[in-house]
Amino acid sequence: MIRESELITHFTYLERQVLLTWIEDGVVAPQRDDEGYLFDAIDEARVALACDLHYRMGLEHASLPVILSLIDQLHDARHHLRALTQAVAEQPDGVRQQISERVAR
Amino acid sequence: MANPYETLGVAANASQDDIRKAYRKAAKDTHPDLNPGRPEAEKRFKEINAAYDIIGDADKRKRYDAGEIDETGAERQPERHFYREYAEAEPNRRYSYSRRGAASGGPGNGGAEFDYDIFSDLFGRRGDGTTFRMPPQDVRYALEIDFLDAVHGTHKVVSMPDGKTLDITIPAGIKDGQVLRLKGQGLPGSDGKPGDAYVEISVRPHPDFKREGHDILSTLPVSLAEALNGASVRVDTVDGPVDVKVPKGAKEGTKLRLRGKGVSHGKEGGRGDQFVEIHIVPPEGADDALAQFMAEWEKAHPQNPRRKGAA
Repeated sequence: MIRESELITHFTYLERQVLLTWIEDGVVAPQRDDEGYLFDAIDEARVALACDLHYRMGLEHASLPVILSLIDQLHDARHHLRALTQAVAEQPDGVRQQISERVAR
Repeated sequence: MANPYETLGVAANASQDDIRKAYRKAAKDTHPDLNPGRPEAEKRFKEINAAYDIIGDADKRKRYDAGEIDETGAERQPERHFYREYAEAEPNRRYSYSRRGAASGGPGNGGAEFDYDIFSDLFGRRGDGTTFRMPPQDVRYALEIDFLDAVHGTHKVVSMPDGKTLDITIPAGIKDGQVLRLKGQGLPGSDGKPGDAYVEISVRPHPDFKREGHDILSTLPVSLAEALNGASVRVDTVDGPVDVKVPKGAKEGTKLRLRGKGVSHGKEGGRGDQFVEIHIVPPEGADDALAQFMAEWEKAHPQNPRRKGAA
Protein backbone atom coordinates (compact mmCIF):
# COMPACT_ATOMS: atom_id res chain seq x y z
CA MET A 1 0.00 0.00 0.00
CA ILE A 2 1.31 3.43 -0.88
CA ARG A 3 0.21 6.97 -0.28
CA GLU A 4 -0.98 9.53 -2.81
CA SER A 5 2.34 11.41 -2.90
CA GLU A 6 4.35 8.28 -3.60
CA LEU A 7 1.92 7.11 -6.28
CA ILE A 8 2.29 10.42 -8.11
CA THR A 9 6.08 10.04 -8.27
CA HIS A 10 5.58 6.75 -10.14
CA PHE A 11 4.08 8.56 -13.12
CA THR A 12 5.77 11.14 -15.29
CA TYR A 13 2.73 13.28 -16.07
CA LEU A 14 0.22 12.61 -13.34
CA GLU A 15 -0.86 15.67 -11.31
CA ARG A 16 -2.51 15.53 -7.92
CA GLN A 17 -5.62 17.39 -9.06
CA VAL A 18 -6.14 14.92 -11.89
CA LEU A 19 -5.79 11.98 -9.52
CA LEU A 20 -8.41 13.48 -7.18
CA THR A 21 -10.79 13.95 -10.13
CA TRP A 22 -10.31 10.31 -11.09
CA ILE A 23 -11.10 9.20 -7.55
CA GLU A 24 -14.22 11.36 -7.57
CA ASP A 25 -15.31 9.89 -10.92
CA GLY A 26 -14.73 6.32 -9.76
CA VAL A 27 -11.94 5.70 -12.25
CA VAL A 28 -9.86 4.56 -9.29
CA ALA A 29 -11.34 3.62 -5.91
CA PRO A 30 -8.52 3.48 -3.34
CA GLN A 31 -9.11 2.62 0.31
CA ARG A 32 -8.70 5.39 2.83
CA ASP A 33 -7.76 5.85 6.46
CA ASP A 34 -7.44 8.89 8.76
CA GLU A 35 -4.39 10.16 6.92
CA GLY A 36 -5.76 9.87 3.41
CA TYR A 37 -5.90 7.49 0.49
CA LEU A 38 -4.11 4.15 0.30
CA PHE A 39 -3.31 2.61 -3.10
CA ASP A 40 -2.53 -1.05 -3.65
CA ALA A 41 -1.13 -2.74 -6.78
CA ILE A 42 -4.52 -2.99 -8.51
CA ASP A 43 -5.20 0.71 -7.98
CA GLU A 44 -1.78 1.56 -9.35
CA ALA A 45 -2.36 -0.59 -12.43
CA ARG A 46 -5.66 1.22 -13.00
CA VAL A 47 -3.99 4.61 -12.63
CA ALA A 48 -1.37 3.47 -15.17
CA LEU A 49 -4.16 2.53 -17.57
CA ALA A 50 -5.94 5.86 -17.03
CA CYS A 51 -2.62 7.70 -17.64
CA ASP A 52 -2.13 5.81 -20.91
CA LEU A 53 -5.66 6.61 -22.05
CA HIS A 54 -5.47 10.29 -21.12
CA TYR A 55 -1.89 11.44 -21.52
CA ARG A 56 -0.72 9.19 -24.33
CA MET A 57 -3.85 8.31 -26.26
CA GLY A 58 -5.57 11.67 -25.83
CA LEU A 59 -8.89 10.62 -24.29
CA GLU A 60 -10.84 13.33 -22.46
CA HIS A 61 -11.34 13.06 -18.70
CA ALA A 62 -15.09 12.71 -19.14
CA SER A 63 -14.69 9.58 -21.25
CA LEU A 64 -12.45 7.73 -18.77
CA PRO A 65 -15.22 6.52 -16.39
CA VAL A 66 -17.15 5.29 -19.43
CA ILE A 67 -14.19 3.36 -20.86
CA LEU A 68 -13.16 1.91 -17.50
CA SER A 69 -16.72 0.81 -16.79
CA LEU A 70 -16.84 -0.97 -20.16
CA ILE A 71 -13.49 -2.64 -19.48
CA ASP A 72 -14.78 -3.82 -16.10
CA GLN A 73 -17.92 -5.20 -17.70
CA LEU A 74 -15.74 -6.96 -20.26
CA HIS A 75 -13.76 -8.61 -17.47
CA ASP A 76 -16.95 -9.67 -15.70
CA ALA A 77 -18.22 -11.18 -18.93
CA ARG A 78 -14.91 -12.97 -19.45
CA HIS A 79 -15.09 -14.45 -15.94
CA HIS A 80 -18.59 -15.74 -16.53
CA LEU A 81 -17.67 -17.04 -19.94
CA ARG A 82 -14.70 -18.89 -18.51
CA ALA A 83 -16.91 -20.45 -15.83
CA LEU A 84 -19.36 -21.47 -18.53
CA THR A 85 -16.64 -22.91 -20.78
CA GLN A 86 -15.32 -24.85 -17.82
CA ALA A 87 -18.77 -26.21 -17.06
CA VAL A 88 -19.31 -27.19 -20.69
CA ALA A 89 -15.93 -28.92 -20.74
CA GLU A 90 -17.07 -31.08 -17.83
CA GLN A 91 -20.13 -32.38 -19.69
CA PRO A 92 -20.26 -35.78 -21.43
CA ASP A 93 -19.01 -35.96 -25.02
CA GLY A 94 -22.46 -35.99 -26.58
CA VAL A 95 -23.61 -32.91 -24.69
CA ARG A 96 -20.45 -31.02 -25.58
CA GLN A 97 -20.85 -32.01 -29.21
CA GLN A 98 -24.42 -30.68 -29.24
CA ILE A 99 -23.38 -27.45 -27.59
CA SER A 100 -20.49 -26.78 -29.96
CA GLU A 101 -22.69 -27.53 -32.96
CA ARG A 102 -25.34 -25.15 -31.67
CA VAL A 103 -22.78 -22.43 -30.96
CA ALA A 104 -21.17 -22.81 -34.39
CA ARG A 105 -24.54 -22.25 -36.07
CA MET B 1 15.29 -3.19 -31.23
CA ALA B 2 13.86 -1.95 -34.53
CA ASN B 3 13.93 1.52 -35.97
CA PRO B 4 11.20 3.47 -34.11
CA TYR B 5 9.81 4.94 -37.35
CA GLU B 6 9.31 1.43 -38.74
CA THR B 7 7.83 0.20 -35.49
CA LEU B 8 5.16 2.90 -35.65
CA GLY B 9 4.81 2.57 -39.43
CA VAL B 10 5.52 6.22 -40.19
CA ALA B 11 7.90 7.92 -42.63
CA ALA B 12 11.13 9.39 -41.29
CA ASN B 13 9.85 12.86 -42.18
CA ALA B 14 6.38 12.37 -40.66
CA SER B 15 5.00 15.29 -38.65
CA GLN B 16 4.71 15.01 -34.84
CA ASP B 17 0.96 14.97 -35.39
CA ASP B 18 1.19 11.96 -37.75
CA ILE B 19 3.42 10.14 -35.28
CA ARG B 20 0.93 10.81 -32.49
CA LYS B 21 -1.92 9.53 -34.64
CA ALA B 22 0.00 6.38 -35.60
CA TYR B 23 0.84 5.75 -31.95
CA ARG B 24 -2.76 6.17 -30.82
CA LYS B 25 -4.06 3.81 -33.44
CA ALA B 26 -1.44 1.18 -32.62
CA ALA B 27 -2.02 1.64 -28.88
CA LYS B 28 -5.77 1.12 -29.30
CA ASP B 29 -5.11 -2.20 -31.05
CA THR B 30 -2.37 -3.44 -28.72
CA HIS B 31 -2.87 -1.97 -25.24
CA PRO B 32 -3.17 -5.11 -23.09
CA ASP B 33 -5.98 -3.58 -21.05
CA LEU B 34 -7.96 -2.77 -24.16
CA ASN B 35 -7.29 -6.26 -25.57
CA PRO B 36 -7.59 -8.57 -22.56
CA GLY B 37 -8.20 -11.63 -24.76
CA ARG B 38 -4.99 -11.26 -26.73
CA PRO B 39 -1.93 -12.23 -24.68
CA GLU B 40 0.43 -11.44 -27.57
CA ALA B 41 -0.66 -7.79 -27.54
CA GLU B 42 1.63 -6.89 -24.65
CA LYS B 43 4.94 -7.42 -26.48
CA ARG B 44 3.85 -5.29 -29.41
CA PHE B 45 2.48 -2.58 -27.11
CA LYS B 46 5.84 -2.35 -25.34
CA GLU B 47 7.61 -1.99 -28.68
CA ILE B 48 5.40 0.80 -29.90
CA ASN B 49 5.66 2.55 -26.53
CA ALA B 50 9.45 2.45 -26.62
CA ALA B 51 9.37 3.81 -30.18
CA TYR B 52 6.94 6.57 -29.21
CA ASP B 53 9.07 7.51 -26.22
CA ILE B 54 11.78 8.49 -28.67
CA ILE B 55 10.13 9.95 -31.75
CA GLY B 56 6.91 11.09 -30.04
CA ASP B 57 8.98 13.72 -28.23
CA ALA B 58 10.23 16.39 -30.66
CA ASP B 59 13.48 16.98 -28.73
CA LYS B 60 14.36 13.32 -28.30
CA ARG B 61 13.47 12.73 -31.92
CA LYS B 62 15.97 15.40 -33.03
CA ARG B 63 18.64 13.75 -30.92
CA TYR B 64 17.76 10.33 -32.33
CA ASP B 65 17.80 11.64 -35.91
CA ALA B 66 21.17 13.26 -35.22
CA GLY B 67 22.47 9.95 -33.95
CA GLU B 68 22.98 11.19 -30.38
CA ILE B 69 20.81 8.46 -28.89
CA ASP B 70 19.96 5.05 -30.31
CA GLU B 71 16.73 3.03 -30.26
CA THR B 72 17.35 2.13 -26.65
CA GLY B 73 17.99 5.76 -25.72
CA ALA B 74 14.60 6.13 -24.21
CA GLU B 75 14.22 5.74 -20.47
CA ARG B 76 13.90 2.10 -19.65
CA GLN B 77 10.32 1.21 -18.94
CA PRO B 78 10.02 -0.25 -15.48
CA GLU B 79 8.45 -3.69 -15.22
CA ARG B 80 4.80 -2.96 -15.53
CA HIS B 81 1.77 -4.83 -14.28
CA PHE B 82 -1.21 -4.23 -16.46
CA TYR B 83 -4.64 -3.89 -14.96
CA ARG B 84 -5.85 -6.97 -16.80
CA GLU B 85 -3.51 -9.19 -14.79
CA TYR B 86 -5.45 -8.34 -11.64
CA ALA B 87 -8.83 -8.21 -13.29
CA GLU B 88 -8.30 -11.63 -14.86
CA ALA B 89 -6.87 -13.23 -11.75
CA GLU B 90 -9.36 -12.19 -9.16
CA PRO B 91 -13.04 -13.01 -9.64
CA ASN B 92 -14.28 -11.12 -6.55
CA ARG B 93 -12.11 -8.14 -7.17
CA ARG B 94 -12.99 -4.69 -5.99
CA TYR B 95 -13.55 -3.28 -9.46
CA SER B 96 -15.98 -5.93 -10.64
CA TYR B 97 -18.77 -3.95 -12.30
CA SER B 98 -21.72 -5.70 -10.72
CA ARG B 99 -20.17 -6.09 -7.27
CA ARG B 100 -19.00 -2.51 -7.02
CA GLY B 101 -22.36 -1.18 -8.09
CA ALA B 102 -24.18 -3.14 -5.41
CA ALA B 103 -21.68 -2.49 -2.65
CA SER B 104 -20.84 1.17 -2.98
CA GLY B 105 -23.37 2.62 -5.37
CA GLY B 106 -20.31 4.29 -6.78
CA PRO B 107 -20.52 6.79 -9.57
CA GLY B 108 -21.03 5.46 -13.05
CA ASN B 109 -22.56 2.24 -11.78
CA GLY B 110 -26.13 1.25 -12.24
CA GLY B 111 -25.52 -1.80 -10.09
CA ALA B 112 -26.49 -3.94 -13.03
CA GLU B 113 -26.38 -7.64 -12.30
CA PHE B 114 -24.99 -10.05 -14.78
CA ASP B 115 -27.66 -12.16 -16.38
CA TYR B 116 -27.12 -15.35 -14.41
CA ASP B 117 -30.31 -16.83 -15.84
CA ILE B 118 -28.38 -17.90 -18.89
CA PHE B 119 -26.23 -20.07 -16.68
CA SER B 120 -28.86 -21.49 -14.38
CA ASP B 121 -30.74 -22.70 -17.46
CA LEU B 122 -27.68 -24.57 -18.53
CA PHE B 123 -26.56 -25.92 -15.20
CA GLY B 124 -30.09 -26.78 -14.15
CA ARG B 125 -30.00 -29.55 -16.73
CA ARG B 126 -26.65 -30.94 -15.65
CA GLY B 127 -25.43 -34.32 -16.73
CA ASP B 128 -24.64 -37.14 -14.31
CA GLY B 129 -21.34 -35.59 -13.37
CA THR B 130 -19.26 -38.52 -14.52
CA THR B 131 -15.79 -37.63 -15.66
CA PHE B 132 -14.83 -38.24 -19.26
CA ARG B 133 -11.94 -37.70 -21.55
CA MET B 134 -12.30 -34.73 -23.87
CA PRO B 135 -10.67 -35.34 -27.24
CA PRO B 136 -8.72 -32.60 -29.04
CA GLN B 137 -10.95 -30.54 -31.29
CA ASP B 138 -10.27 -29.66 -34.92
CA VAL B 139 -11.42 -26.23 -35.97
CA ARG B 140 -12.30 -24.98 -39.44
CA TYR B 141 -11.77 -21.52 -40.84
CA ALA B 142 -12.32 -19.86 -44.20
CA LEU B 143 -9.85 -17.43 -45.74
CA GLU B 144 -10.19 -15.39 -48.92
CA ILE B 145 -6.99 -14.43 -50.74
CA ASP B 146 -6.07 -12.46 -53.85
CA PHE B 147 -5.57 -14.22 -57.17
CA LEU B 148 -1.93 -13.16 -57.39
CA ASP B 149 -1.21 -14.27 -53.81
CA ALA B 150 -2.57 -17.68 -54.77
CA VAL B 151 -0.25 -17.81 -57.78
CA HIS B 152 2.90 -16.65 -56.02
CA GLY B 153 2.22 -17.92 -52.53
CA THR B 154 2.33 -15.64 -49.52
CA HIS B 155 2.55 -15.45 -45.79
CA LYS B 156 -0.42 -14.23 -43.80
CA VAL B 157 -0.99 -13.47 -40.15
CA VAL B 158 -4.75 -13.35 -39.72
CA SER B 159 -7.16 -12.92 -36.84
CA MET B 160 -9.84 -15.57 -37.09
CA PRO B 161 -13.48 -14.90 -36.06
CA ASP B 162 -12.88 -16.59 -32.70
CA GLY B 163 -10.04 -14.17 -31.92
CA LYS B 164 -7.24 -16.68 -32.52
CA THR B 165 -4.31 -15.41 -34.53
CA LEU B 166 -2.95 -17.80 -37.14
CA ASP B 167 0.31 -17.62 -38.97
CA ILE B 168 -0.41 -19.14 -42.36
CA THR B 169 2.04 -19.93 -45.12
CA ILE B 170 0.15 -20.15 -48.37
CA PRO B 171 2.08 -22.22 -50.93
CA ALA B 172 2.49 -20.91 -54.48
CA GLY B 173 -0.14 -22.31 -56.82
CA ILE B 174 -2.84 -22.99 -54.23
CA LYS B 175 -6.26 -23.64 -55.80
CA ASP B 176 -9.63 -22.19 -54.99
CA GLY B 177 -11.34 -24.47 -52.46
CA GLN B 178 -8.14 -26.13 -51.32
CA VAL B 179 -7.88 -26.77 -47.57
CA LEU B 180 -4.69 -26.16 -45.59
CA ARG B 181 -4.10 -28.18 -42.47
CA LEU B 182 -2.32 -26.39 -39.64
CA LYS B 183 -1.14 -29.07 -37.32
CA GLY B 184 -1.69 -28.39 -33.63
CA GLN B 185 -3.58 -25.11 -34.17
CA GLY B 186 -6.96 -26.46 -33.08
CA LEU B 187 -8.41 -26.66 -29.58
CA PRO B 188 -6.69 -28.78 -26.92
CA GLY B 189 -8.34 -31.80 -25.41
CA SER B 190 -8.24 -32.71 -21.72
CA ASP B 191 -4.82 -34.32 -22.18
CA GLY B 192 -3.51 -30.98 -23.45
CA LYS B 193 -2.88 -32.25 -26.98
CA PRO B 194 -4.28 -29.76 -29.48
CA GLY B 195 -6.38 -30.61 -32.52
CA ASP B 196 -5.67 -29.23 -35.96
CA ALA B 197 -6.93 -26.16 -37.73
CA TYR B 198 -8.25 -26.48 -41.27
CA VAL B 199 -8.28 -23.36 -43.39
CA GLU B 200 -10.33 -23.44 -46.57
CA ILE B 201 -8.93 -21.05 -49.15
CA SER B 202 -11.10 -19.19 -51.59
CA VAL B 203 -9.36 -17.23 -54.31
CA ARG B 204 -10.78 -13.90 -55.42
CA PRO B 205 -11.16 -13.76 -59.23
CA HIS B 206 -8.79 -11.49 -61.16
CA PRO B 207 -10.19 -9.01 -63.71
CA ASP B 208 -7.63 -9.97 -66.38
CA PHE B 209 -6.42 -13.48 -65.63
CA LYS B 210 -8.19 -16.81 -65.55
CA ARG B 211 -6.65 -20.01 -64.39
CA GLU B 212 -6.87 -23.42 -66.01
CA GLY B 213 -4.87 -26.04 -64.14
CA HIS B 214 -1.38 -24.62 -64.06
CA ASP B 215 -1.88 -22.29 -67.01
CA ILE B 216 -3.01 -18.69 -67.00
CA LEU B 217 -5.38 -17.44 -69.70
CA SER B 218 -5.75 -13.84 -70.75
CA THR B 219 -6.99 -11.84 -73.70
CA LEU B 220 -4.91 -9.42 -75.75
CA PRO B 221 -6.79 -6.78 -77.71
CA VAL B 222 -4.90 -5.69 -80.87
CA SER B 223 -5.81 -3.30 -83.62
CA LEU B 224 -6.45 -4.51 -87.16
CA ALA B 225 -3.21 -2.88 -88.32
CA GLU B 226 -1.21 -4.58 -85.55
CA ALA B 227 -2.74 -7.92 -86.52
CA LEU B 228 -1.98 -7.44 -90.22
CA ASN B 229 1.55 -6.06 -89.88
CA GLY B 230 2.68 -7.70 -86.68
CA ALA B 231 3.69 -5.62 -83.67
CA SER B 232 5.51 -5.70 -80.37
CA VAL B 233 3.03 -5.04 -77.56
CA ARG B 234 3.16 -4.99 -73.80
CA VAL B 235 1.30 -7.84 -72.10
CA ASP B 236 0.52 -8.22 -68.40
CA THR B 237 1.65 -11.46 -66.82
CA VAL B 238 1.39 -12.56 -63.22
CA ASP B 239 5.05 -11.48 -62.89
CA GLY B 240 4.40 -8.04 -64.35
CA PRO B 241 4.39 -6.71 -67.90
CA VAL B 242 6.50 -8.25 -70.69
CA ASP B 243 6.94 -7.35 -74.38
CA VAL B 244 5.36 -9.85 -76.74
CA LYS B 245 5.63 -10.09 -80.53
CA VAL B 246 2.28 -10.34 -82.27
CA PRO B 247 3.07 -12.29 -85.47
CA LYS B 248 2.29 -10.71 -88.81
CA GLY B 249 -1.15 -11.77 -90.00
CA ALA B 250 -2.31 -12.90 -86.54
CA LYS B 251 -5.90 -14.10 -86.58
CA GLU B 252 -8.71 -13.58 -84.10
CA GLY B 253 -8.44 -16.23 -81.37
CA THR B 254 -4.79 -17.03 -82.04
CA LYS B 255 -3.18 -18.10 -78.78
CA LEU B 256 0.34 -16.98 -77.99
CA ARG B 257 2.17 -19.04 -75.43
CA LEU B 258 4.34 -17.32 -72.81
CA ARG B 259 6.42 -20.13 -71.43
CA GLY B 260 6.83 -20.38 -67.69
CA LYS B 261 4.43 -17.51 -66.95
CA GLY B 262 1.85 -19.81 -65.42
CA VAL B 263 1.32 -21.30 -61.99
CA SER B 264 3.88 -23.30 -60.02
CA HIS B 265 3.63 -27.08 -60.21
CA GLY B 266 4.53 -27.24 -56.54
CA LYS B 267 6.91 -29.95 -55.45
CA GLU B 268 7.54 -31.29 -58.97
CA GLY B 269 8.98 -27.89 -59.84
CA GLY B 270 8.48 -25.72 -62.88
CA ARG B 271 5.55 -23.58 -63.86
CA GLY B 272 2.74 -23.70 -66.36
CA ASP B 273 2.40 -21.25 -69.22
CA GLN B 274 0.34 -18.20 -69.95
CA PHE B 275 -1.83 -18.30 -73.05
CA VAL B 276 -2.69 -14.95 -74.54
CA GLU B 277 -5.66 -15.01 -76.88
CA ILE B 278 -5.63 -12.39 -79.60
CA HIS B 279 -8.77 -10.34 -80.01
CA ILE B 280 -8.85 -8.07 -83.02
CA VAL B 281 -10.60 -4.78 -82.32
CA PRO B 282 -12.17 -3.20 -85.43
CA PRO B 283 -10.83 0.25 -86.30
CA GLU B 284 -12.35 2.97 -84.17
CA GLY B 285 -13.85 5.94 -85.98
CA ALA B 286 -13.81 4.15 -89.36
CA ASP B 287 -14.68 6.76 -91.98
CA ASP B 288 -15.95 6.74 -95.55
CA ALA B 289 -12.44 6.57 -96.91
CA LEU B 290 -11.74 3.31 -95.04
CA ALA B 291 -15.14 1.86 -95.99
CA GLN B 292 -14.55 2.70 -99.63
CA PHE B 293 -11.04 1.28 -99.53
CA MET B 294 -12.31 -1.97 -98.01
CA ALA B 295 -15.06 -2.25 -100.61
CA GLU B 296 -12.49 -1.80 -103.39
CA TRP B 297 -10.09 -4.18 -101.75
CA GLU B 298 -12.71 -6.90 -101.36
CA LYS B 299 -13.70 -6.58 -104.99
CA ALA B 300 -10.16 -7.56 -105.87
CA HIS B 301 -10.01 -10.26 -103.13
CA PRO B 302 -13.46 -11.85 -102.96
CA GLN B 303 -13.99 -13.61 -99.64
CA ASN B 304 -16.87 -15.46 -97.94
CA PRO B 305 -15.97 -16.16 -94.33
CA ARG B 306 -19.20 -18.18 -93.86
CA ARG B 307 -18.11 -20.76 -96.44
CA LYS B 308 -17.08 -24.05 -94.88
CA GLY B 309 -13.34 -24.28 -94.57
CA ALA B 310 -12.85 -20.50 -94.71
CA ALA B 311 -10.20 -19.26 -92.36
